[in-house]
Amino acid sequence: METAFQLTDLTKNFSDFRLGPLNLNLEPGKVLGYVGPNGSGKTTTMHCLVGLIKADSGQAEIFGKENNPNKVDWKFNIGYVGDKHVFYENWSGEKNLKFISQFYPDWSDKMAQSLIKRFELPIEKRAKDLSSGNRVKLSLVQVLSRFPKLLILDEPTAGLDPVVRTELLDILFEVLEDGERAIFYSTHILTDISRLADELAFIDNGQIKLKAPKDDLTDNWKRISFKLNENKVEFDNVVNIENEGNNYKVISKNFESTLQHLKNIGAQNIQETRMGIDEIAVYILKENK
Amino acid sequence: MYRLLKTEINYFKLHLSVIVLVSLIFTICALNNIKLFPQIYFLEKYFWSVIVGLGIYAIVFMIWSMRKKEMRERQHALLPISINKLTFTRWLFGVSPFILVGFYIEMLRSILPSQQLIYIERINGQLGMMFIALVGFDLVINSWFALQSKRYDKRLIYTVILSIALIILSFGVIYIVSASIIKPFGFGGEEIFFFIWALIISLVDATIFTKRKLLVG
Repeated sequence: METAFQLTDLTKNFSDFRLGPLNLNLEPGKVLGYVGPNGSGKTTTMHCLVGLIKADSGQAEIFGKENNPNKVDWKFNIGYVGDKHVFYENWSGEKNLKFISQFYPDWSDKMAQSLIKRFELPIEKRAKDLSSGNRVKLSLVQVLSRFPKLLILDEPTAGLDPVVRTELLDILFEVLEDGERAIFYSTHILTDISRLADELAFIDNGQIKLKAPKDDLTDNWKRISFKLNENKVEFDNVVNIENEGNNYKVISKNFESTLQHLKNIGAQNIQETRMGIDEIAVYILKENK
Repeated sequence: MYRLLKTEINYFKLHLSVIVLVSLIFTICALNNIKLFPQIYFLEKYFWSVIVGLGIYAIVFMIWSMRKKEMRERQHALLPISINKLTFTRWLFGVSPFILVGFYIEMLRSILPSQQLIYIERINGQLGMMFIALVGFDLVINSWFALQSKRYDKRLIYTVILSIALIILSFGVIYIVSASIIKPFGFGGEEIFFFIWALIISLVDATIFTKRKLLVG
């Protein structure tokens, strides 16, 4: 089956940082949240994917085509919005859109106009006079108006205040919720993506720690409280233990397995609580340190 | 490629029109033998070489600083244009002002009466040196990014020092070589060698640009 993108044994070395070897893929129409702390390699991965950084080894393919800088068909399929929004700064938003439109046969002025209206974007202003939020919006209009099959969003809301961020994400998700595009969304703020993501990949220190469907994570990772009369007990698949006397609170990464184990050792008053995806992420990244 | 070049020219049309304006004023003065400093020979001799040579360099430098500030390489690298076409467009846009003005000065040389050659005597030498400085600087940047990292490394310092040393050295060597080779032919000025040298550096620079591992900045 053709993938929206496929990274195979991708590596990139810097003097003080090594990314990979990375193996990561995304199916068409799915949304993959790419989660990790600052400096973990999220942006470098995306730069390798879109051709801004040449990987040292390994392969990056977009819809089956290698991201070769001299055979650029693959670029029509991707729309990239990074943490830096680059424009012809002295030109208006409108003129910048006109510049971009000439390179993409699928460009739709109608779509652009509808997004401008939806985003309430002051398109007549020069790019350099736009606020941070409006610069993100202009980048999104540039990308969404040409209907790329794969959207690569690298912390597009970085640096925005919470109100603008929430507003922007609401509009963005409304636009994207048609489910037709594959989306690769990197963030260190999980609430940004948890609503939209089908899968989550966790990266730390240049390595993928875990990739799993979001529902599997919320089903498997649970907070469990129980009463146990024994001391010195080892628990299965537990990443955190707190206890006051015989009352325990643990965090399990495999709920069914832990539950079975607790029953076997005679735990009582077992109660489970679902965890938020942001809490789960913290434990996943902590666990692998 | 053509669209990209057209866009760049359109975006920097104000800067580029200053180059045209300076050249136009200079031409009027040269053709009509208008002396701006009739009493001071020294000033008259160097004025236009400084204004045209340094002026054009300053404008081109401003253009490239602006391109750098606005992360033009990053913006263009994301477009569906091959790196070879992107490089050629970039090269053409970078060398054109120097080549066109240099060629224009040589044209003037062929029509100016000998007593008015003072106007153009040193312009191409000055312009050629500025041309070398600019492409040399770009070569340093591109070599660095072709070598590797966006993060700090001692190699950057070594590369910069070596490149600057080579450029300074090349000025002296080229001048001696050009004077000895070209002068006997009575060709329109040994300064032309600066241009040839700058063009060679720019072609090396363009080749290295295609090998860049980072286009993020």
